[in-house]
Amino acid sequence: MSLTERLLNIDRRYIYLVIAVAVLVPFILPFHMPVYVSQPVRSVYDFIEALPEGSVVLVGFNYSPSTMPELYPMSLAVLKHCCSRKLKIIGMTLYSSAATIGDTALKEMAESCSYQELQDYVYLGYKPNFEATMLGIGEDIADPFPTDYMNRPVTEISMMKNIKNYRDIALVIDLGSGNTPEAWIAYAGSRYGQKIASGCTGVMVSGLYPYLKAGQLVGLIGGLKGAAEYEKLVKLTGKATLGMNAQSMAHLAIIFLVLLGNVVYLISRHKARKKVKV
Amino acid sequence: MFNAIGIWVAIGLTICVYSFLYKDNPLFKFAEHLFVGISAGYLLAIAYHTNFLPYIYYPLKSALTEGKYREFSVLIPSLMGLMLFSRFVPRYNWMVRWPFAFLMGYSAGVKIPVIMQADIYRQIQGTIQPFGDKSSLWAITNAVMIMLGVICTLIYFFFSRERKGLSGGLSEAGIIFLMIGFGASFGYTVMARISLLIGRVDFLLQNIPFINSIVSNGR
Amino acid sequence: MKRQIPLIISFVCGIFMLIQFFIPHPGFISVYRGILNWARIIGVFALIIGIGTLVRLHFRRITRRSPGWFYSVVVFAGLIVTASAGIIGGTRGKLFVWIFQNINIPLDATMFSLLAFFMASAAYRAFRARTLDATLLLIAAVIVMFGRVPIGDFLWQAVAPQSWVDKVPFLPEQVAEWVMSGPNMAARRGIMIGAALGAISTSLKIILGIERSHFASSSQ
Repeated sequence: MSLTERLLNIDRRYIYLVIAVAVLVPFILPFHMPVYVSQPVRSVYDFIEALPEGSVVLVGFNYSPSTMPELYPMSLAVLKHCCSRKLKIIGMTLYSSAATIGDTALKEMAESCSYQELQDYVYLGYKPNFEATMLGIGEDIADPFPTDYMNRPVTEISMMKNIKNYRDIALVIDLGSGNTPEAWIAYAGSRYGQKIASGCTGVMVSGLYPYLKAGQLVGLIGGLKGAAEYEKLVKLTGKATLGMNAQSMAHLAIIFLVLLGNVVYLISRHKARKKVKV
Repeated sequence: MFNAIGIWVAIGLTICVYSFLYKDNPLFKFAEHLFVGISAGYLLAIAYHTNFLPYIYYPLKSALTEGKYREFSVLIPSLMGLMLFSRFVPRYNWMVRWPFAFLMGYSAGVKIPVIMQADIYRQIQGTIQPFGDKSSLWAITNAVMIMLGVICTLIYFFFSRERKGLSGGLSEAGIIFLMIGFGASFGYTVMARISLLIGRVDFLLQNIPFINSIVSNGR
Repeated sequence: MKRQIPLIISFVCGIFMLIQFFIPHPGFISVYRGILNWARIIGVFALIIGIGTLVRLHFRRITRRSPGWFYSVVVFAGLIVTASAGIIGGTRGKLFVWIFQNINIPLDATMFSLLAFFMASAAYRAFRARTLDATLLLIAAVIVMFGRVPIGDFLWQAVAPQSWVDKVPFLPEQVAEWVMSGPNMAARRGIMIGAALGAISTSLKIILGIERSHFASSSQ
């Protein structure tokens, strides 16, 4: 068997090994590379930065544990920024599997910047049927969320006294891994004129660009790279920044594999044509 | 102690799942089924505390104990919700249509105006608006390209006419835009999947004692 | 009754929700809020129905001693322990949170991280520049992969002539951004407008009772 044939039919496990090594090595031998902050990420930061102290932001933790490595560091960076600006935070989720994630992220934030639950932030937990929930918040937040995560009546929570609907919310930040950003844009943005920012997984980024460019999103934080950019803006060395080396090496490895695959393919096609001519 | 056990359980299960990379095996199957069971149990508990109690139980309780009779109205959607379970009884499975009809009907009605606004009107506006801005030649060239891209992509998806002449050429151009779009999506998908792997590798390196010390030194 | 009533429900709910968008009258708003509340309550049951199907499937596998029935026991054990821990101990209960943090998260995250390996293998085998279209797809993917990580800019600044680097220090990132906000966005916008037109026509068909496929599962 020739080298090209061997490379064409290589055991998939060798490819797995290349990826594993590309991800592992930067953790053992770390190096520093500056992170460039893109405009869509900076726009989210600038918008939050310009909010007056005490403004209310609604943060949707709409992702399951499967996408936590991408979205949890992003959540922490955004929450850190909100608490450094002394904003009031309402947390919620439209994903049943994310109920504990939102609770944990808010607790982690509260510990790092001395926020008090029910005074500085509230976690409302999970509610089903996201179009009905998003539209319900537009009328009265107590309709979809009669109680918070611990089943305390929302109307009796001190922080929620002056918050009735989207008119009292300066920004909705959707941290999502599904189609929640599109739903917020349609139901909260179009219907109630709510400002929306999105933090999403890499897979979703290209689909959200039309909304970003049409001004329906104030900004977009895309994938682990977006999270690393946000960490840079809020001066936090989190998991996203630490993961950028491994991300870079793995991308190079995949580009190398794609190029190698194409070179081998072209050589084998050239050989096959030669054979036919002979 | 409780946390230490937890970390070892998490490490063990992570390795069970990764064993699939070599080949399918009972450890992976065990992890897979455990995941299904635990996810369902988690959903049940969350639905009970954050949905059933505030939406159904508390209103009914206040109707019975505090005389708030309006709250009895939750019985109607609850009954419709229970009708969903009729799908398990072949003789009565027609009942499932009522709640479905309600959900589909309300959702269809609510969707039409907002989709029209968010996905059609605002997108057309976003395509035309850059021409009105006082901008550079580069920006105007881009705006022209984007407008052409949108029109060509739409023509590509217009199946009611044979693709000949001008429409054929424009639809071919639509394919070029689509391919670049899918390529960009693929690039981002690579980023997303690698990020997930980084998360797990980071977890293993941070929590396996011997390896942990090597990584800490590296950092 | 079996066929007509669901069609009437769809029609009335759909038309009402469509009209109320344009009429912000207090009476309309109150009915609108009522319908949204009902939809959320029905949503709770819709959520549980999946678990019903799962239980039925695995119960059958155990009672019939089908191959791999032991794994169905694992499903039940996981379901019962987690649900009990959550329902009895509450959503912030120690055991419930422990199960989520140490079993649910590692399993879910690791399952999905397997995709990184499968995707790399697929990229090596299938991502070939066979035609012009495929070549464009490949080039766009490489530009985004290279430009959207710090190493792209790092290599550019290390390899390119200094005068070029001074002019555009983040060229790979900027080219990737152009691909995203130029051709990619145009294609996505075209798809979005097309899909929206489709969604509107399907919604109208549902309201008018022309589209009935969602009733199909209960027709036998």
